Amino acid sequence: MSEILLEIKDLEVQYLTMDATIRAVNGLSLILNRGETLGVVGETGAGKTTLALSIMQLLPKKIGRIVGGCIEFAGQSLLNASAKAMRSVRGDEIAMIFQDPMTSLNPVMTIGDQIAEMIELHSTDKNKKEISVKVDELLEVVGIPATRKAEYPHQFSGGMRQRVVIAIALACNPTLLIADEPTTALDVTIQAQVLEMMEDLKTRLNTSMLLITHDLGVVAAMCDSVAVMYAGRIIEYGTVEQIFDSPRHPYTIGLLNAIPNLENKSHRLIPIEGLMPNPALLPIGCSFHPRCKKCMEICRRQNPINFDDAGHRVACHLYFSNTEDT
Amino acid sequence: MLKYIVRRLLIMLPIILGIIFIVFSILEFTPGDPVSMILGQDATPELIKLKREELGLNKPFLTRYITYVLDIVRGDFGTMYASGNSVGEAIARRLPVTLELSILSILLAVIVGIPLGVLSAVKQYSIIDIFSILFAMILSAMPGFWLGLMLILIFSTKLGLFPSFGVGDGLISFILPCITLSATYTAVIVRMTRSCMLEVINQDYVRTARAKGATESHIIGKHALRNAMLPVLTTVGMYFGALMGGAVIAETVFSLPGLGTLLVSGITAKDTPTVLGCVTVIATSISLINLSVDVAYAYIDPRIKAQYASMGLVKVKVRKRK
Repeated sequence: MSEILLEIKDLEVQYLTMDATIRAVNGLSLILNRGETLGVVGETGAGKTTLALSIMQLLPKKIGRIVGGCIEFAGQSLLNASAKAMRSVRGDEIAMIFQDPMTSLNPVMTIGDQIAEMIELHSTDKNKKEISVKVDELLEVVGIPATRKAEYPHQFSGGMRQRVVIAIALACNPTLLIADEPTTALDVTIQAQVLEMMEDLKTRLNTSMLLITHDLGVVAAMCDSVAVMYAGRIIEYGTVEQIFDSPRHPYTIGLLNAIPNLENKSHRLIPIEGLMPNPALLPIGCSFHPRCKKCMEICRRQNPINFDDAGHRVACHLYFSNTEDT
Repeated sequence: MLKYIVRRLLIMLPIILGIIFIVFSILEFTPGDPVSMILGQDATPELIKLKREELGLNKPFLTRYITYVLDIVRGDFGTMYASGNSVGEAIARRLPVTLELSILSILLAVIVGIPLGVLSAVKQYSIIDIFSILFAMILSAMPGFWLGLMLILIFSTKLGLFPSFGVGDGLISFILPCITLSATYTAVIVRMTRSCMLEVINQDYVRTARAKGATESHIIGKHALRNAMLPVLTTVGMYFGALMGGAVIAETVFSLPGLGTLLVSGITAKDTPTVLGCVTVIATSISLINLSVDVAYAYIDPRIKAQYASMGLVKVKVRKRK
C-alpha cells in the first residue's frame, strides 16, 4: 500500500555566486509514498523551489550545485542518471507545474502546440491525429474549450494559463507531480477551482504530488502529510492532523498563529518576529534560534536532530530535554 | 493584416513627398549654381540666362517642386544637367547592382552572424564564445575602406582569385565587396544575437521546455530562437536600409556601378535631378524594407499581430462614431 516513490536523503544544494556561497538546502530528507500528497510549506527563501528544481535536475546551470545527498525516484537514483535518462524522466514520470503562469508559457507558440509537444517528446508511436485528440481531451479536462487550442498564451487570463500549464504537466500521466506554488499567482476564486481540479485529477490518475506552497489553507485542504521547511531543512514532518492539531516546533506553532482565525476574533495576529536568516551566513546551531522564543543555551551551539514520535518528526532541542549533554 | 499593410503603404506617400521636399530645399538653398558649373566660370550672362530657362530653373521654387513630383508620378525622373542622359535609365541600370550587393551582404551577415551568436550564447564563456566575441570585435574595428583595400591586395593582386573591380564576372565579382560591407554588420548581429539569446535562455518558458524533457537542441531551435529573433530582425532591417544608400565606400573601392556612386557624383556636380532621383528610390526602398520588417514581426510574434489587428479595429470604430 505505502510503497516509497521518492526518497531524498541529506540533500545539500548550494548556489555559487561571485561573492558568496548560498546554502539553499542543508541536509534535507523526505519520503513520499505512491498516491500520497505531501505539502511542503515555509516562508519565501526557505528553499522550497530549490528542492523542486533539484528533483527535476533543473537547477540554474553554472551557479546551482547539488553538493551532497541522494534523490531516489522509483528505485532509480536521479543524481547519477545520465542526461538522456533524465530527459525521459522529466515530463513523462515527473512533471512540474511552475509558479508563475504568466511567464512559464512560450509566448510565440499556440497552447495546443505546447501541450502536444509534451506528448510528442515522450510517445513517439502516436501520429498527429492521435496527439491532437489527446490535446483536446486534456484541454477539456482542465476546463478550456478545445476550440481555443490554436490561440496564444497572451489571449488567456492568468487562471486559464495556469490551467494550460497543468494540462501540459498532466499530458503524459506522470507518476509524480511537483506543483510549485500552483495557486500563488491566482486570485482566490480561481485558486479554489484550480485546486479542486488538481485534487480531482490526482485521485483519478493516482498521481503522487509534492505540493509546494506557503498557504497553510491549501495544505489543510489538499495534503496527506506536511513538511515544514526552514532555512533549507525540514524542521517538522507529520500528517496533516499531527501538524495542525499538535504542532511541536516553535516555528510551526508561530506559522499557525499567524493565520487569522474566524472563530476567535478577539486577539490580534501573532507574527513571527524577525526574518529568515541570510542563507549565505546561516547561524551556528539551530538556524531558527535567533527568532525562537524558547531558545535555550544548546540551540546556539548545536543543530538539533529529529525527535520521532509515531511518524511525527520534529527537529528541536525542546524535545530532547534529557540529552542536552550529548 | 492586409488593412494594416495598405495603411502603411498609404502613410509612405506623405513620407516620400516630405523627403523629396527636404532634399529639394537643401539643394536649392546650398551655395553653388548648377548652371555655372555646367557652363564654366567665364560664361556670358546671356548664355547663363538661356541655360536657366532651358533647365526650368527660372521658375519659382514651389512650381518646380510640384512639377518634379508630378513627373515622378508619371515615371519621369528628368534628365541629368551635364550629360542630358535620362536619370531614370541611369537608376534602372544601377539599382540591380546595389540591390544585389545589399541583399548578398545582408545575407552573408545573417548566415554568419546568427549561428555564431546562438552558439556563443549556448556555450557562454567557452572557447567558441571567446572566439566569436573576438571575431566580432575585430570585424567591427576594421574600417570598411581599409578592409576592402586589403582584400583586393591579398585576394586579387597577390592570389588573383577574385576580380578587383567592376561587375563584369557576375556573382564572383560581388564576393569581396560583400565581405567588405558585411563585416561591421556581421559583428553587430553576432553580439545582438548572443545577448538576446542569453536573455531568452533564462526565461521561465525555456525552463518549462526543459521540464518537458526536451533536448537542448530542440529547446534552442524551437523555443529560444524565435523569441530572440525580434530585436535581431530590427537590426537586420535597419542595416539593409542603410546598405541601399550607404554602400558608397564599397562601390568606390571596387568601382561598382551602383546607386551610391551615382548619388555622390550627383551631389558633387549639384545635379539636382540625379540626387533627387537617387534619394527618392533609396527612401522608397527603405520604407518598403521597414514595412516588410514590421510584417515579419507579426509572423514571428502573435502578440504584435494582435496589436496590428486591433489598430485596424480602433480606426474603424472611430469612423463609425463620426
